[in-house]
Amino acid sequence: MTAAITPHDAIARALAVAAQAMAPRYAMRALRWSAWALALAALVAMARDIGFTGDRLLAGIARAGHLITLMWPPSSGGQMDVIFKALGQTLGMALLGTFLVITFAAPLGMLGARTIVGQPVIHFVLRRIYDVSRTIPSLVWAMILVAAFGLGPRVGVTAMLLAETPHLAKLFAETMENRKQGVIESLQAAGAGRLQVLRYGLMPQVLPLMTGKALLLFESNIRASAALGLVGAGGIGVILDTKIQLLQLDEVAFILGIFIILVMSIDLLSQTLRRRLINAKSHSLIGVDVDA
Amino acid sequence: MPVPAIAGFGPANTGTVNIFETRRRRLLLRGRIETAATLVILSVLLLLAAWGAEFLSGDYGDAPFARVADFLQRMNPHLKPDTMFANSETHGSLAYWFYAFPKWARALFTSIEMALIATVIGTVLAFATSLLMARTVTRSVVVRQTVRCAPNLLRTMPGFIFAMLLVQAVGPGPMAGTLALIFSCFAGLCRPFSEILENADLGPMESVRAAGGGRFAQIRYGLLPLVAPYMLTYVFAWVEINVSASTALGIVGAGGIGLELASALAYNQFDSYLAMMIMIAAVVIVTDIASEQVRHRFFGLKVTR
Repeated sequence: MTAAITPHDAIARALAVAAQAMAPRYAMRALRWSAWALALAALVAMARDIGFTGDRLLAGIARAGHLITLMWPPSSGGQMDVIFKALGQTLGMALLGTFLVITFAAPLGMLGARTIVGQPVIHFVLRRIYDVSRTIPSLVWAMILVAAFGLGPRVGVTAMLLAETPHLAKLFAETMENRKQGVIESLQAAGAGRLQVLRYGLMPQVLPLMTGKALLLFESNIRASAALGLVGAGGIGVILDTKIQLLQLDEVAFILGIFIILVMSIDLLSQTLRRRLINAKSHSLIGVDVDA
Repeated sequence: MPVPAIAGFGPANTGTVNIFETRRRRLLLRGRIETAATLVILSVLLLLAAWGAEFLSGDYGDAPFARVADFLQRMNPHLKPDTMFANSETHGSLAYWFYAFPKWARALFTSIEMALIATVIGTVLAFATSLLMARTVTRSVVVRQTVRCAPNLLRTMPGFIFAMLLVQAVGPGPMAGTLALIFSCFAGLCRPFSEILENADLGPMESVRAAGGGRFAQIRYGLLPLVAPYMLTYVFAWVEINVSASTALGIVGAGGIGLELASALAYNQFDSYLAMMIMIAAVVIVTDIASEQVRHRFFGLKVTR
């Protein structure tokens, strides 16, 4: 007859084994915690390196509070017409910039799509060029263009063109690569020429997606063109730059208020349009996958 | 000409075909009118825009193309093949072109530090806020809708204008730029985060509650492991955006390489400007590749931007 195991024994045995069984888990945990600690230490070191410290932050918050009191009440400063003209110019820059970017990006995107230009070397080189040239922010372009060609909205539009075209060309190329081959093959089987295949096989598939991307670009270009004014490239940014430097914050608040309302309503409009595009596409005769 | 009958649809007659044809023609016509109207409206808007942006004024100064050529000439570092690798005193060498490389590299490093700090802080803030924005975590409609306003408002503001205001508040330097990046990163992450939370499976969270876990334990062990991979893909996308944006922030006095860019222009050194643009492109590309590698290796997920 074997001795029955008492609960006391069972617990003792379990505890003896537990330490062994849990050892790898504890080691894993220690490793993970030290990795976190290391990351945190690196972050703190970086913050100290760039002078991001708690007392400076507190002082900044106090000063920001003071600046916010300066913002109230918002005032037009009696320059309603100047402000609205500049806002119109900013919108115009964004619209024209977007249009020109699309004009250049559409053919470039076609050239960069593997499914249209089959040559692998051309494809690789073009796509790398797009990758490299989209890395320079538009403000960096704008500053040197202003230095070279003088102030004005034309320079802003050119900066947008240089900064955004490669990015949109890349997006367009990807869109065109992702389309369904079936429609195109059936058109070819029916004896359609190269142009007809593009018009009836490719365009209906990619146009809604490309329009959606272009609308998104327009939304972000409105913000970008307002920022471009900060380096003198025309529009509302020029006025904001002066007013912020002179600390006329009540007028800044007024302009920003109008700008925010404007941007929000355009975003809403563009959102509705994009949603309609996607819906129209899913109802169309040619089934295309929707990637929102 | 007799119309052949279609099986299961009864005998077709010319009447139904006519009705079909009329409707089809009407539909096509409507589509064409809509397209034409859209094109007309768009053209008018574009003409207005071109006029507003002074593209139609015709005042392009004299010899615009010569000025473009001059501009490119001033950016050209004038490298010479025989002195390419000579020291920084020799005209036409790489070292002469990149004469202030250590200083620029230091400024670029500051930009990267700004971007990384901003992404981490922005992510933490956005996660906390998105918990308050998600239907599945926060029950009160009032709280959800109120909290939702903040990122929406912030998102409409161009980051560089925000950076300028922050320069006034905390003084010029990397701190102002970091704060501006924190705000834009926070505003950009809130919505995808709250959408991910709303689409998450609530089962694990309920299990933790059933096992007696408190609110924190529910979120930490029931929700976070589920949503973290999805959220991290967005965070990595924002690392890329922030690194790119941080290189330009110095232009408005908010620290980083942008400061060096502005001072190069102040001294009319267009070739130095080009050198720094090349450095920026290199850093942004390396960041893009690194973040893509990490994303693919750890999550195997793709995020569409």
